[in-house]
Amino acid sequence: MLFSSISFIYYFLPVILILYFLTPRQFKNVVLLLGSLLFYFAGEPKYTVLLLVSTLVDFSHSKMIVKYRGTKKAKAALVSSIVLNLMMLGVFKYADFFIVSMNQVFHLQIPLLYLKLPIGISFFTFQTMSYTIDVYRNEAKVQNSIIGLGTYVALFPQLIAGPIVRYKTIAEELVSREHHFDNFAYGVKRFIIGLGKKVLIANTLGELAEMIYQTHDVSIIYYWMTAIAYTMQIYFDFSGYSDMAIGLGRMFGFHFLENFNYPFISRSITEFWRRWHMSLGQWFRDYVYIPLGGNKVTKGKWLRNIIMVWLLTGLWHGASWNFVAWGGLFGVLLLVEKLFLLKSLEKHKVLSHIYVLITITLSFVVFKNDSLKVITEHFKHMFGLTDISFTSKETMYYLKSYGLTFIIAAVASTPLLKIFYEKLSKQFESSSIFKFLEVLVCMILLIIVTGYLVDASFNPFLYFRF
Amino acid sequence: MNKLMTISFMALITVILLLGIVLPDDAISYSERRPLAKKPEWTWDAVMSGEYFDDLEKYFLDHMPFREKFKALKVAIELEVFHKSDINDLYLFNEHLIKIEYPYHQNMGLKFVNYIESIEDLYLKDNKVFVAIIPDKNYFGPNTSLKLDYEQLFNDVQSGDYEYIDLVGSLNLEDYYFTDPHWKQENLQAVLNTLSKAMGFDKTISFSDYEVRTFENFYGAYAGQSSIDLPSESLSYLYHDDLKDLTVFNYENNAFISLYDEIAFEGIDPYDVFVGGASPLIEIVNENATSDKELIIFRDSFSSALAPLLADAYSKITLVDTRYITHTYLENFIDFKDQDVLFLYSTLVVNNSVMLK
Repeated sequence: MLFSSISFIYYFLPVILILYFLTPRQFKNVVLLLGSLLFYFAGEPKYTVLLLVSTLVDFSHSKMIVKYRGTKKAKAALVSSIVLNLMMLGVFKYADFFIVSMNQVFHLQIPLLYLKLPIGISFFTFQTMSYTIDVYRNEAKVQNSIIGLGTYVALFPQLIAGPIVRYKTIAEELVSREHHFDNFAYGVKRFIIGLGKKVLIANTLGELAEMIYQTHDVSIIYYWMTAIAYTMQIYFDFSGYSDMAIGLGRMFGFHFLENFNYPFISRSITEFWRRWHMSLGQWFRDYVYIPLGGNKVTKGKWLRNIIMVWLLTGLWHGASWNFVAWGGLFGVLLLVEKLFLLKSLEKHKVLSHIYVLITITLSFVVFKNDSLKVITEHFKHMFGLTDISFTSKETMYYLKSYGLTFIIAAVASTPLLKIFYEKLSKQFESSSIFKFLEVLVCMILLIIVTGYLVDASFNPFLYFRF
Repeated sequence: MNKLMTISFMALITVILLLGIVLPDDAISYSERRPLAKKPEWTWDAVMSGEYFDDLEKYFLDHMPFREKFKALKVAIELEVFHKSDINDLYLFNEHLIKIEYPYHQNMGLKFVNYIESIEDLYLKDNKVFVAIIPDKNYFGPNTSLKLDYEQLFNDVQSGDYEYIDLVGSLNLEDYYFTDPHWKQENLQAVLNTLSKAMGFDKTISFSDYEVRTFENFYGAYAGQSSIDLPSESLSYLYHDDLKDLTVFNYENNAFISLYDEIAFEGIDPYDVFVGGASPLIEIVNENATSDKELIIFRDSFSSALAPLLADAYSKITLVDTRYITHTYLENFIDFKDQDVLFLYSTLVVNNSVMLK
């Protein structure tokens, strides 16, 4: 079930909200857990059992860690939990990728498994691993209730597309959380804003991004236009989803951490990754980079750590070599920046900004296409290394048709609107008309989004399969 | 105000939930010309395969309360706020909904010519063969729109071994419905004159002598596809008492049908009023015709409106739609002798000629 679907907004959500708020406090987690399992079951009936297995594995192993703390048995329990989680991820997400690669390199004929990728497996396995590791490190208290841990793992607002919510972030709220109108209203606002980003901007630009595969009238501008559209689509899709997740979490009294912080205003790739999918970056930092020694090791090992983390980051995004290359590209760029470029970038504010935008746009060409041949062709076309024209009639038609969407997307990807809204809020702090208008705008936006959903044929969630 | 936000949100989603449950389901969407999804059945296999939930989503989408209003709102936002140039490849020009057909696939145009020539070789060695192409509405749209390379398309079609009849000068945008791709029967006088001159047939009924019968509240095929909130229009057909004794036989149903079937006005596509709509093989016989000439029209849906206007000029007209019947089967139904033969297709079919069997 998608957040941006009629079945979720107008059927699942009102029912779960009403049941949840009618239920006495001590049973709220039960309602949330059952609702979350139903939510997952609607999308992946057969794989719901995986979610339950993952929960049971980490519940039992964390108990063993606590029971045998300080002994080798605790470490064995941690290793066993990590291996089981990675095995699940390996079998369902990476097995065929590994087999295809082996077959190609060694000319083997190992048959493929053709397993369907369970929705959100990369998110919930990383979350459960973070829980067990944090318990082992004594950074989180063990959860003694299977309902409590199950609610954390299956919690539908963050289950299938993140952000990667660490157990310790919501550990206390799993036990006791506040429900009040402030939380709920904030959640409604974030949810509707996220819906708007996803449905009005990401889906619209997604239509344009797909046209590069259908056009008969290509041009250099056409390639750039669709590449930029795809970059914007990814941002508004994923950050919109994160907004919805944070908003839904807040309606139920949970405070999830932010996942995006206007990444396109960055002036270096280093800064970009501090603003883009922050929960993933933090996960790799805390559970891979620092345990490997971080930057407190020899230069050679430090280089190894960075490259390893970024190759894994790429691989996390998908079982395909283009994702590995995409992650590796960022690893190299981050190294180059750290070793040579950062100081220069700080001096040239405009140039550094252009450098980031172009680099990110090109990187998403690699992200989007899984064939080296297609990626090379795209790059050649974009830089005028083929005989296609600079522009074309079709290019100009779509540039005009999607021009305003691009402008709106560009403005919405900066903090300008947020700053403007905060100024207005401050200025009209005591104005009930302003507050009424705020409610009205949100409801109108929800109605408009509903119109788009009712008429939608194009509504993919790009981060669903990660 | 946080209370108001909470109450407004909960009220909105709950009211729509309740209306969705309480309101009766429509079986058909007349604007989209399709049956709406039915509530899926709960079976173990359907649930475990995920099919049940997929179908449930389709059902919710199709039976969303105020569905048509929501769709119209989306289109209004696309056009008025985002200034999109088209909606689902449809755009508004001079109050007409026009579909973008783009680009011209020359291989399709040449395939079309080869297709006609192969039928000529097979059946039409003793026939006078004419080919006429009906420009789609986009031909008359603004130059800023994406269009077929019409010049190339017409040149390619004219390259075949037959007599080509140019209809472009006999038509303008006003000759088509506002919300439908088809031409209006009552506006076909210039087309008839052009065809009559080229093919050498004589009509016995003067165009002004037809009685115009009109059905109001017509929404064409493009209305539902675009969801643009437009007023309905009228659909007319031309009747004359001399046509009352015609016999019209539909080979597909193996039954006689009406030349004009007003029951279509109550159906999904009122344009089916003309000889019952799309069908592979229809025969119109006029025992009272002053001429004993016969005509075979290889056609698409545009000819449904034209054929009744030719019925006074020919003793028999056979309408062949090879989108629904393979042309090699035709010898089982048609005795090809010395009939006039007209291939009459719109540019939409020429550019997608792969659909011709």
